[in-house]
Amino acid sequence: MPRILLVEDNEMNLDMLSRRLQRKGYEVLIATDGEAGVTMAAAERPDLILMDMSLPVVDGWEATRRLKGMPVTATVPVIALTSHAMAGDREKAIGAGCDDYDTKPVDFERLLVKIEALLKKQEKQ
Amino acid sequence: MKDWLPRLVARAPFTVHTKLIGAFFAIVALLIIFGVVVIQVLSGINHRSEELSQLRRKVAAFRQLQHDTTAQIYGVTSALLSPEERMLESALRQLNEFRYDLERLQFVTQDEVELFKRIRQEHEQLIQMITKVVELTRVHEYKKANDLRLTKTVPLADTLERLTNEMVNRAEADMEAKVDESTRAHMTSRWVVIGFAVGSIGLAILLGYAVSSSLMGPVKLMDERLRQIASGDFSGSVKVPNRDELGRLANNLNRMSEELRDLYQKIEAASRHKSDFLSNMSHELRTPLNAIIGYSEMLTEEAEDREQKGFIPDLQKIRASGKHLLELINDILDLSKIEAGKVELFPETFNIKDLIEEVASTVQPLIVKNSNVLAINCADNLGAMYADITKVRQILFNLLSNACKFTELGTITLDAVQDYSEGAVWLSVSVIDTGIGMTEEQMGKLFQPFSQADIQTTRKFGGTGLGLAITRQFCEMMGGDIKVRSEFGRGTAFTVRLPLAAPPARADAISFAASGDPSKSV
Repeated sequence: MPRILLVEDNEMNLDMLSRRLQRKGYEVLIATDGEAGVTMAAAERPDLILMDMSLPVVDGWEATRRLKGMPVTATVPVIALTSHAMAGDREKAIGAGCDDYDTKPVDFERLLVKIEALLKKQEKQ
Repeated sequence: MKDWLPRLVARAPFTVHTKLIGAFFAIVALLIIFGVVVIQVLSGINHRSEELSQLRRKVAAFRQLQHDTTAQIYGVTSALLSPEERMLESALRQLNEFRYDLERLQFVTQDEVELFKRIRQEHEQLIQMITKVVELTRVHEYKKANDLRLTKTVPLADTLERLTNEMVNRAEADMEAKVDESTRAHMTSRWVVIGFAVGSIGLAILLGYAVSSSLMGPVKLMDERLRQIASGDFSGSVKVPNRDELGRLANNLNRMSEELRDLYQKIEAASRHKSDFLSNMSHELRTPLNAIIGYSEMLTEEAEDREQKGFIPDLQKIRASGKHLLELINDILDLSKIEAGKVELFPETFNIKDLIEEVASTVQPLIVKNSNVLAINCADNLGAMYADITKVRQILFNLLSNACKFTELGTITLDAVQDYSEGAVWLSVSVIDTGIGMTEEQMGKLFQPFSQADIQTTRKFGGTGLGLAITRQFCEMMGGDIKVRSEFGRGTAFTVRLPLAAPPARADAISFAASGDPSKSV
């Protein structure tokens, strides 16, 4: 069963996304700030990370940069979750090393397609 | 350096009116002076020619006198040679007549009084001598008479002759001198007249140049400044040396410019605050909305899992309303970001036909909703495009969803072709519907934010009326444009034209279009 690390500080978003992902059969790990996310990713080595960009302590871009900089976590795909079309957020996310991005509020079906695609790609490697 | 005169005129602390009247009077004064000089020169010429003709008459009279003198002396001398009483009488009479001639001449020869006096004295002596000779002859003292004649009258006659000759010579010399003087005076007068004419013309031209330059210079400067203000540049100020009405006009112009600059800054700040507020508020609104949509979706899934399908329609209504509200908020956010200049373009290469098909499938539920038919005609040569795909997607989506909204049981056609014009290659997309169409008046307000055709339209069809405003802003940001044709009750056609390769230099124009042009503000 694929394990997904969800880094998100908004309680309701966290609750919703984690429950819906679990319903779809994923194992969901949770972190509520950038720093905790990086620590957990290094410790648990999930199959995929969903990373909110506006996070406390360490923001999503910096957290992603750190993850991609560590050999243990460098290959784990990261999907950035950005606010609706904020100027340059998407480009900043890709620039920080994110493999894909989606905008919030999340279109769950679309997000699932992206998750599946990245996981499949990961399996092949 | 050459502008010192206009500057001087400009700085003169008089009104423009006074300066013009002054210049006019200066030219009139020059004309009057010139006229006086000409009149004086003419009267001088006239005076000299009168003098000349007087001299000519004098010379003629002197010549006559000379001639008469010679003739009379000869006549008297020959009469004295014969003792006949008749001849003697005649000689004396002739002498007296000659005296009368001299008297008459006196009037002419005022300037030669000395010489003339001597002629008269000589003549008087001659008369006395001749009278004596005549008396001696009458008493037959021929010898004495002859002696007297030879010793006295002949030398006297000679002297008289010499004096009259001298008189004629002098007069002729005078006349020649006068002619020379007249010629010289004429030359001088000519130069004086020419000098005054040239001087007057020069002064008048200089005066005209100075006055007109001192007036036109500031007018040109102010014209230039007004042009700058009209094009939105409030930073400069105009400096004119004038202390007249034009100077005051320039001061007022500068004050107006400053006032406008302050006002513009205030408006800009207000607009920025408004955009920031809208942006923040939209962001805050979206978080709870997020939860509403998310949980309603979750509950739908939950209901499906637990076979409690009765809840599903209501849950879907909650979700649809949430989505609608989200769309509205997103539109407001988009527009406020465009206005705040916070929207950037991120061009990438993508396939046009793929994008059109993607948007068509997204819009499919809306097509079905009003029982419309969507026809897509893509030219074979469409190929790839280098542009901000999210913006192009949003433009196409807005046009198609708009067409769906205002068409029922009709056809919506999307034509996409390549278009070569203005030295560039364009993607030209037309979205044509058979819907309710618009009147001329409605089309005029079309691209204004928050302005649908009218209140009834908003109530009936929903929406914020922001979609087309955003669409136009996006088109212009990308270096393209949008045009509309419509017939009330028959349908509407929107045509968007976007450059196939977005030039990177457009980035400057974008921030200007988004923030700098007050005409595009809400």
